[in-house]
Amino acid sequence: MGILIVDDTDFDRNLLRSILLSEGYEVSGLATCGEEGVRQYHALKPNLVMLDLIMPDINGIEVLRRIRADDPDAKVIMCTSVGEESMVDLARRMGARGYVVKPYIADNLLGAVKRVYGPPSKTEIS
Amino acid sequence: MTQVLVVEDEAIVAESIASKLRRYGYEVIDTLPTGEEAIEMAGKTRPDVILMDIHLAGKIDGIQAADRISGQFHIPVIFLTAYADEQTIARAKEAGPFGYLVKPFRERDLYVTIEMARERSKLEAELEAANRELDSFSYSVSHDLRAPLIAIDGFSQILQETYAGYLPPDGVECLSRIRDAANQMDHLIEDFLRLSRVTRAPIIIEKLDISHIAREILGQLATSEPDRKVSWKVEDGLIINGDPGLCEIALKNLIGNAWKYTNKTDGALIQVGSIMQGQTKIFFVKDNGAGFPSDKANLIFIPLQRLHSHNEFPGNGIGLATVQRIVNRHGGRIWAEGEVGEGATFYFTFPEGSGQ
Repeated sequence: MGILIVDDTDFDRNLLRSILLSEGYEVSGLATCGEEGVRQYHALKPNLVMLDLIMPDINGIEVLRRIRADDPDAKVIMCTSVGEESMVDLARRMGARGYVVKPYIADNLLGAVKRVYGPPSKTEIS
Repeated sequence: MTQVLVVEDEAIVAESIASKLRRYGYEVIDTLPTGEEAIEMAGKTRPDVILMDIHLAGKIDGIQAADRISGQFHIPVIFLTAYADEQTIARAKEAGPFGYLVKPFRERDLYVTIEMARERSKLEAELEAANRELDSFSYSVSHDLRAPLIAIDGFSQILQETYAGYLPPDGVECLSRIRDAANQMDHLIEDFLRLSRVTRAPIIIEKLDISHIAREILGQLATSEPDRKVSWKVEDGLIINGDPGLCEIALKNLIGNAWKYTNKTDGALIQVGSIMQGQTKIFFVKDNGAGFPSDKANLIFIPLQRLHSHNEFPGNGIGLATVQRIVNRHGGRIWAEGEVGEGATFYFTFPEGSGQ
């Protein structure tokens, strides 16, 4: 349930978390590297993964591939400072549902989350 | 004008120092009798240099005051003291002073010590700024270099998986080569980043049981490559004083190498142990693998120097350079012995105290 955030940068991970929480979304997991992201995906079965591209162990595209290999319906939004067309295209081809460029602009970010995940459900606002 | 704060509990001595300083053209901000007042004044006025007596009137002595001042405000502190027993000197050293003057001192020594402290403090600040810049540079370089590699690998993978039917086998093979090369470069970037982090990461010394760490690393290697048949002997109770993170990286590299280079050896054996040479304990990691020509023992610590081809034994020649920097930063030494086909032994020392 909820949203899983996978990002090796503390600042980006925490910022993303607070934006999502303030809008009423449930953040169910925080992973600080790719391997942990894959593990937490299997443990938590989140409705959405916010996934960083460049991490020290395995990169976001590989994480995306591993997650979708087991769960072809997994919803993933790539979040990265690399906004080149080739990267956006690669993420889309590998099955990402959305792409958000850092530094985060709350409106763009929430727009993408709403498109892929839907609005925050009432039970999630506590 | 250079601003100096004098901390000295004997008023006559304090005034005498102050007047000497003024004669040399320094501005004396104040003369204070206690460490507590010195800390407060240092925060308020940020003097360029502080002259600090060790025995002071207040609850804390000059060494404690200097410790807090250098931690909070990065102001160079020079100790002044009438007598210096070994214990005091040892404590003063820990506080990282920028100079030490034994009273009575000559005017000229006072002047020279202050100027040296100012210069060193300036250089340290510059070095810190340069390191910060290097950190952010390394970070952005790694991001910028890795992103295109991810694209190269990712699109090659799509070609391989989705369009393999349109390519002759040789074309599919070419795609594998492209992906191997991209991954190799990705590892190279990561290893370079690690080498640069290892060179600058702060060292926090703890007592470490390297027998235990070595066994864990060997266990992990055995789990990740269950087909390999490697035996190992690890001496019990090998203890060093070192930074846990850095020492683990060093041991992982040394033992990982032993593991890798015994790949083609029947009856592969890795030994981790120690020998005494006089008063010095020398640790070693020994294998009976591929080895290296004995006259090349010094070359293997140079980054990117490899004595085997990538196809024979994959690697990029950064691991041992990383190990050497870690050992050197702890104040230890590392060297290697080997013969082709007869294995390699890496010896290293770790001093009892802390390095830097």
